[in-house]
Amino acid sequence: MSSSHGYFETLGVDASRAWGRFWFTPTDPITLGVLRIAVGLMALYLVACYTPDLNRYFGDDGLLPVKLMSDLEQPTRNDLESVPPQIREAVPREFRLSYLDWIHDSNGLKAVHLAGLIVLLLFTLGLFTRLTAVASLVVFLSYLHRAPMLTCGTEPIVALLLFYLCIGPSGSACSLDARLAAKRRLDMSKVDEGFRVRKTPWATVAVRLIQVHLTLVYSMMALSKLANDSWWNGLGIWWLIAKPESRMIDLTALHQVPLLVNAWTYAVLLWQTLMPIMVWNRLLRPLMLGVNAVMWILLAPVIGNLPFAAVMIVASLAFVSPETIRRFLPRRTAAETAVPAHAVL
Amino acid sequence: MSMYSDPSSSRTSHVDERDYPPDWWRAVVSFLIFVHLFALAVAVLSNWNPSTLSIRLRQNVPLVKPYLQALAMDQAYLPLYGLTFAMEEDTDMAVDLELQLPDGTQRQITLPSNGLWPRERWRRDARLAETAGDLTGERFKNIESLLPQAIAAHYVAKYGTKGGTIRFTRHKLLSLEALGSSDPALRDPYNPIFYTRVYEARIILVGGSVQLLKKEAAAEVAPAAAEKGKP
Repeated sequence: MSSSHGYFETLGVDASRAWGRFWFTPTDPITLGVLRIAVGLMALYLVACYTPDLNRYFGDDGLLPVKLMSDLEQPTRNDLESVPPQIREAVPREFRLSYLDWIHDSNGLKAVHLAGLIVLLLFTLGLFTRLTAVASLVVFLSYLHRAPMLTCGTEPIVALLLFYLCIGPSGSACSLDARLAAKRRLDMSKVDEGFRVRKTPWATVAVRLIQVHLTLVYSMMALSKLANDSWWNGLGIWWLIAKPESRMIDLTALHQVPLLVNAWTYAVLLWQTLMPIMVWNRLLRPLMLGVNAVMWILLAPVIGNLPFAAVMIVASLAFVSPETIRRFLPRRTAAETAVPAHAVL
Repeated sequence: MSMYSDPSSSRTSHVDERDYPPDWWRAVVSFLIFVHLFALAVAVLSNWNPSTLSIRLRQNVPLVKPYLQALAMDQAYLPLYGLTFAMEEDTDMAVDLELQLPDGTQRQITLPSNGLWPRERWRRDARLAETAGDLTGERFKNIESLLPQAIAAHYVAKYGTKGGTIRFTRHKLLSLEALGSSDPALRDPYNPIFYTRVYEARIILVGGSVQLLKKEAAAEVAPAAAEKGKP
């Protein structure tokens, strides 16, 4: 009885310590800074692509009037299972908030669109980041919720990254905010004398949330393939290659080497199955991140969706250690999130 | 002495005692993280072959559904992220409209149309066509006309047409074995045998609003679109 009590006490204490170490050990926000730029650029691109089609989609006589969203949502509200899986994410949801729902005229649409692009640009540059991070999420979600049938796998990933970048101090590195703050705080000419990085637990929370969410996404990707015949029989990649309109490159010549098609399919299956496990191993992480990038680059022209492949690679940056990122950045950038070494010693 | 060891410490970076959060902060944030992860688990479990438990959690736990849906996290990360399941819905879809213009000529419109730049625009049109096409059929009788009607109303208003036809065509995929066939027709992915019509309707104007008369069931008329489609 007492030994079991002791066991559970130890388990509780150790689990609590591990939880604290995992989520709250202060870390360098440089990872969030780099992610902010990459995700900001992705969001900017995706929203900017609406520019020529604003009226065509959302205008008074547009393809997708607001009323259509509620007409589609209500019959499927409590029965999403009735919708084919491939378009389930394309069906409007009950709780959606989009400022585009209230704007239909051409000039109004142009004005809010321009404002949205400016917000995303400021966020990407890292100016007033605390404010523009939240505003960027609102902007991006507004487009996503206004017409989910125009989105694919890319948008939900960008949205979740924007959400987590709101939580962490994404503007405290690689940003105009950081540069302005550093000018006030540091004599940049003495950067080489040494500095210490300002670490924060919020950066850890945000990065960990991205890592955990990404692990969930990869796990589901792998599970869906493991449960599907076309990936077991080695033809999954073929069914992507065979889509004549979607693909960006014609690889149908590979029908002459079916073994290569099989091998590619199994490689994708293996990579996505191992990724959520092995990326947590410090030694295997660089290997998995490299494989991840290569596999997405190879898949991108086949699935015909470069932004999706790009955003999956960008999201995986959350697993790159801050030290590695700093090694690739100019020393001045690194110093912007630092305080002088003599202030520590 | 710091409470936690920092395995990533280096010459230029180390953790200062002042950087560690207080206990109350960790308790509050831990609770919020737990709630968030719980909501994500509910989203995954309730969006794909859901159990009674997962549906009840999604519907009855306060704020879970609004939280997930508002943040676009109400996802199982399965269909789109699985890339393909080799199902009928994993094929390309196109929307074709034949419109009779007021001057008596005909205009053909295809969604997605080739040549859109950047490609993201093409992809959005393709996704719209895919959604509209996949929502047709007996299973979706109450909603199948909604997207076709909206698409038709847009082009009727744009070109001031009196009517026309709207068609949804699925482009079936060529199997690996078919490409090895000795018959060239079977190796051509653009051969008409690989196209299936999934929906066809006549576009008609009734009292200034656009209605669709589905070809397979002539008596079936889509609900009228309010204030849309005025020529």
